Amino acid sequence: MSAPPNIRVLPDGLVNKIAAGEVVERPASVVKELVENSLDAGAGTVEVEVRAGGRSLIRVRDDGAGMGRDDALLCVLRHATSKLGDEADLFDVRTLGFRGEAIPSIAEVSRTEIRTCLRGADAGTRLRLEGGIVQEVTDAAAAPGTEVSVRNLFFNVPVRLKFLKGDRTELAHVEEAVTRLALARPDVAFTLVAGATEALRAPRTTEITRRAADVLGRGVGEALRPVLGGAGKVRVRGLASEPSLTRSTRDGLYLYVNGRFVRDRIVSAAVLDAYQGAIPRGRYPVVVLFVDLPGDQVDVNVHPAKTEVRFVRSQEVFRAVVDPLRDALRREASEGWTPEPPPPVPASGWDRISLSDRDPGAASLPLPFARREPLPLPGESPPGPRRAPAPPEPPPPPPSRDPRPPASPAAPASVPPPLARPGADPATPGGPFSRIEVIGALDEDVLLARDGGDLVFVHLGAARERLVYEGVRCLAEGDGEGPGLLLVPEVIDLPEARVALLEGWRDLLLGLGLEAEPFGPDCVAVKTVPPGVDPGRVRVLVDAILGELPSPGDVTAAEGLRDRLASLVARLGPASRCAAPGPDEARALLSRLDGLDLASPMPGGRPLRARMSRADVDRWLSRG
Amino acid sequence: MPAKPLPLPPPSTEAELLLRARALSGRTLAWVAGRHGVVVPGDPRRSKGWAGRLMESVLGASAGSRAEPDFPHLGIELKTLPVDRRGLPRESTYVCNAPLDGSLVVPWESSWVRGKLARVLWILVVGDAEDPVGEKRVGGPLLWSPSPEEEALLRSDWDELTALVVGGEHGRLTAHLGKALQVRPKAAHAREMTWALGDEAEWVRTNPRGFYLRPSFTRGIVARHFVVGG
Repeated sequence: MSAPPNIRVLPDGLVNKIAAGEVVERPASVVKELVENSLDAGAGTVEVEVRAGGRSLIRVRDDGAGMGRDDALLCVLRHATSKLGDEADLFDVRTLGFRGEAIPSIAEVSRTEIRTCLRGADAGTRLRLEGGIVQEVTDAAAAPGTEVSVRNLFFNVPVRLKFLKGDRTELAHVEEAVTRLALARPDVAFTLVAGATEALRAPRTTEITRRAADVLGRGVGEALRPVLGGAGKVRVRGLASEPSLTRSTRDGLYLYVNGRFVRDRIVSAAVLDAYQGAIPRGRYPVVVLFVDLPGDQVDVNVHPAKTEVRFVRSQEVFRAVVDPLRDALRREASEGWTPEPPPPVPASGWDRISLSDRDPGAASLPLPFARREPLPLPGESPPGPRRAPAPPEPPPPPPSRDPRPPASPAAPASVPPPLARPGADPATPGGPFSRIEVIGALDEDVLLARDGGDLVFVHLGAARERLVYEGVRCLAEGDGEGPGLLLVPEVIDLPEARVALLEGWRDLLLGLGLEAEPFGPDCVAVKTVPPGVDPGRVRVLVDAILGELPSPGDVTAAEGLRDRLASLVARLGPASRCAAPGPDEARALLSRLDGLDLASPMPGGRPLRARMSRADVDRWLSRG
Repeated sequence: MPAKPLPLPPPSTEAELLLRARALSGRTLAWVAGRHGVVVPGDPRRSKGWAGRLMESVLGASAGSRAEPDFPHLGIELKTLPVDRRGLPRESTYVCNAPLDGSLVVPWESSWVRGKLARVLWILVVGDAEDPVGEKRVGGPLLWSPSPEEEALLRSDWDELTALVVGGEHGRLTAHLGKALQVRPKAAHAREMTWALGDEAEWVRTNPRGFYLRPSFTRGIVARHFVVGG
């Protein structure tokens, strides 16, 4: 018998209250959501009224499009919205709201009345809700637009009431919410009335500086200067305070992404980075900054409050913000904020407005978020069908650079990266050596292998000698691997005459890869060795070479000297004792042997291999 | 005798720089210091960074720890690399400061780190840990640029590390991150603090950091360009 289920589907009312908690945190959240609805409805005037910090009443009235009765009834249903058409719209949001959560969430935790009237309609609609439940729907006389009255916020969620601060604090939050919205829309008139007091009045204007002065105060407004620029598809415009105006908190950062106020770390960090050195650490500037970028480059659907966004290319946004701000600060440093026309922005269809009354000759700034339609960016086609966010571009391939300095025996310090070693041609996998199947090592000197039905013995010492010989021969011919650079030069005490002898044959020895420089009158420092030579064999090798070198003027003895020395290097250069190779090492060695020119024998060289055929074995093992 | 060498004028060409470096190759640090009137530190604990400063001075480096190569006009960075007698680097290699204030939010191509590592003159300082500092020897100079594979590795680490800075997650910037490049504290003591942008883009105080090359990365460079006895 199965146990009764512990997991239950929550009732709609409880779901709505939970959701309301995310959207409606305090009266200021209600104001934000309702004003955003007004702006999305195309309002030219928005009036906000609050009483008791918004606890007893929040009323938002606009002259926007208004709603018919059916729409009014639908708007109180969760996830009912006119702002999204299909899934693709979610990736290219052009409105402030889009989730269809605000009105139902607000209505769920308050007593709400909606009066709305379409433009040109004979009568409007009045909707009364309590705790999210529609109580009454009637016709009503109403001016075109919408008026939403929210009374007794959180009347049915007493615990939320306890978290609210005092009326003054809540009013301050409301003022801040209206300020953020008003800064983004100078083309819309805003008023905020708190009780019997007009807390904010911002007439409609075409000037962002006028709007900033209206809502932030005249003193702040006069300390703000234009910022304009961008990078790639990111455009940045707005106002930034001169360095003398700072605040102790980040509250002066009014940052907007595609017209939406955000608390974004990337943009904030870029602003603060731009001010580095200009203002004291721990202080913050006042900045009103609008960052515009294609909708598919930013995700606004991160949190119900929509103050968080995610950028597809955050570093590009960072740079796009930093550069124009730094330019503005540089202008300030050099010209004391003398207004200077910001760099021209290619025609975009942005509404352009005068910067300031005080500076009628100054350039114009685009009106932030004055249009609903996306604006084509420089070099960009007009918007086509909406699409899902593009994945981040893969990083460009690393620049192709030849890191190798010129290699020459005279400049061995510039060591080229390893070139193909003699016999290391990977294109010959089926060569005479690499095709044989290694059975094992007989001892440290002899490798045992099978080639078809034959048994093959490979002499490892001879193989190493031959590889060194070929390496030296290639180097002398200006081909193949360069000399080996010693970790630290080998310093060898020698009689002065022998130092002179080495110096006399310097060029020939360099050609073999041996660089031995005088290191005082009776000393040489060996800095490079022929390819494949073990550093531990340097002294032995130098001693043997000195025994072979004739005096520099002895032309007869010099004949064939290079070949003799190459053979000497090959015989004495490899490490004297090597452990038996492992399978991988053995295969690598055989692969290198494949590339050798075995037709040219090495003077004094030993046979590399011996073969025992099956016939030999049969003969040896045959009966008497 | 002065404790610091009198700096030479910067070399005018790459060849002149190499010539100077090669002239030191094989010498003990005591010999080099003596030729330039520098006292060898007696206490090994106080010798950290001394060899690097000595080499900078006697080779005529000028940039120091600034965000440009040590030889700016040649575009060459000087790095001394202490290795043991088997050629194994003994410690990570400091590249440059790692500011946590947003300065790092640049692409790899224009980063300080790449600027410093685009062309490096490696000077090995060879000796085992127990060797007195003056008896360690100057190794062969190597003029190096990262191969495409090495650069791809560095770029990948750069992207990973700077993404944390962009996100204000400098608390997660530990030495465990990065295959070739790592970020580690760079301060004389834990009380030394600097400003950083926190996860809410607020100014916070934290320990300064620096970019370092891992020993495994420099070990590869040594192995590819030098021959070491078995």
